[in-house]
Amino acid sequence: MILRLSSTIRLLVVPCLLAAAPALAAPLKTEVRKLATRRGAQVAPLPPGANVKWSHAPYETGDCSICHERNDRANPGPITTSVNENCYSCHEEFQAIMARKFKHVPAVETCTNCHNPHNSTERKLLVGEMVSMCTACHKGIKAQLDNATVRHDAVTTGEKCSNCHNPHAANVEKLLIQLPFDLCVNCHSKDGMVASDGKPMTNFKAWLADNKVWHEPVKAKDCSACHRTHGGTNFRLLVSAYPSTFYAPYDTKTYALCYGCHNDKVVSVPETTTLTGFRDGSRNLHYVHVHQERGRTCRACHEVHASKQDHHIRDGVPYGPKGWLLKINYTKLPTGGSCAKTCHETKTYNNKTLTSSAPK
Amino acid sequence: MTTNARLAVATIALLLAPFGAHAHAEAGTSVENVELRTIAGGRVRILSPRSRANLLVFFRTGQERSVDALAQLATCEKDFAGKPVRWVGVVSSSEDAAAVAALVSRSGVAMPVVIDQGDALYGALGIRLHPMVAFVDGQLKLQAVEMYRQIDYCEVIKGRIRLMLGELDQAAFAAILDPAKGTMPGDDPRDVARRDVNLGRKLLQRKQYALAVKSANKALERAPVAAAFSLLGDVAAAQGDCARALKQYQQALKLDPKDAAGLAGQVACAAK
Repeated sequence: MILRLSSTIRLLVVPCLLAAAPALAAPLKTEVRKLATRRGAQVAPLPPGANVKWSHAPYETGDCSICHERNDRANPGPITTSVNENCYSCHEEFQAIMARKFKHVPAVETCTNCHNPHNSTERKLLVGEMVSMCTACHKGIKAQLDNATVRHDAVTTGEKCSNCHNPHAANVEKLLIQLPFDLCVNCHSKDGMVASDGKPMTNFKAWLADNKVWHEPVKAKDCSACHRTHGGTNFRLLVSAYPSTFYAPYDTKTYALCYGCHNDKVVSVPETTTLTGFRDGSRNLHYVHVHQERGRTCRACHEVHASKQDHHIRDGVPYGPKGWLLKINYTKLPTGGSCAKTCHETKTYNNKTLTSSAPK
Repeated sequence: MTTNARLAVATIALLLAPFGAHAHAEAGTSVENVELRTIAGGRVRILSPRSRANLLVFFRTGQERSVDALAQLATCEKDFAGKPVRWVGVVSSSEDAAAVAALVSRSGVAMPVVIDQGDALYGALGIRLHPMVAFVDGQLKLQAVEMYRQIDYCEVIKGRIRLMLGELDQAAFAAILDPAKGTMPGDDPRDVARRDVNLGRKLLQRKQYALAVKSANKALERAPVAAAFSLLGDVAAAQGDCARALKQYQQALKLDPKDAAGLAGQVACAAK
């Protein structure tokens, strides 16, 4: 199956004693090396003895003149029109496909950049194995695949790259068939899926239906905001570092994933009247919880995909080796909120009145 | 305005702004048209009542997403040149001014960039993420806040501006937010059947009747397309069997009364 991307939040937050693996942020853009248009060897029929598995219907008729000037196998001459015109004369649906907003340059140039019009050992008459072919130009993706310690099966199984991308043209950037969320949920919507580390994975369709407060990237259908979909070095294919444990000493680098969008000052400044509502007067309670040697990590209080409560505050967090559910007991109040006795005695905060010094 | 006065404004704004389930202020919130210092040294008001779309672009230095967003927005800006759209960049006063200036220069954006002293504007609008674009209309009401996204960022920003300019309706904008699935070639069996028909037509032109019939039948195995029946009709007609051809044309026209080959074939056979 193609299913190894993410996991349930419950399992994501199981505290473990392992330190977060060092991780670099994945670059937003990856290198694409433009190659010269392929012509010649790849478009000729495969030589006798080749393990031909797929053969093009016009070639099978034995009448070379369907595409070429002469019906002479030894000397068919050039094709009668441009390559793409020739192909589209039968594959007429490509007129509509290639009218889409985002077009793959090799497909626009010539179909024979990727397809052998006679026969092939590969499906869709590709001139080579799909991942090898794509990564011949997409060097950045090749580097990601080669260096990945956490892999995404979607890249290498089923339709491979075409599980998510239309290599001709698409209505979505990066030639995606759909927005990332729709693509991911296509697979990650089943119970019983297991990640490569043996942990169960979330049925996101069910989880999101049950938890109506969605994290902004989820709302924007942008799973790739946090997940490196081709492969990576962080658990759950995260694009950058995020503590895998309940407790972690505070270091902005440890939270690179969150700080990729969120302002680190939400946590790193002790006093504020503007950066967060989780403050008592101007005393920043994020700072109080997180900014310490045995800091509570984001997961202690927040769900990352979706929650039932505002501000992605979770109902409870699995704690300890057996995943005992520690209730947060958060209540939103007109002047702030309160957390009832679990981690600490019931405490209430008021963010509408300044009770401490304002920030400079 | 003194820092204390600014903080008082921010506190009042916090009390007034309905933040709901989101950190950021909700659509309809009034945005105060404050005058702020720019990184270039002057002062500008952040909004223009004459603009139908005011964009406040919140970004920071040292962040790849802000770099990419600004680079993309530089293109967007040009797309709306001459239209009632105002762009203003916003950075926290805690940012290094030289680094901001360098980033802005590299990105190619033309918008003025204001310095948000004490993060008052951030606080008033509840901006917690970077980069974020707040869309404010000519009545100085917040219409929406858009976060950066990896996919279709520029499309969404441009779509929302066009919505505010009245160039798009809600349905068209919804299609930008949730584009139609881009089908793969061959997803629809009728498309594959039509390929067989097209090949069959080429074979018919070459008087390869048996192969043309084979191609048409292959098409019909995939999907009942009218064009396959009319191809069978044309093959029969080419072989001088108009009675058989007419039956095929009738099948084609039953599936598609407007099938051009079927209609033409019927006429041609009737004339014989």
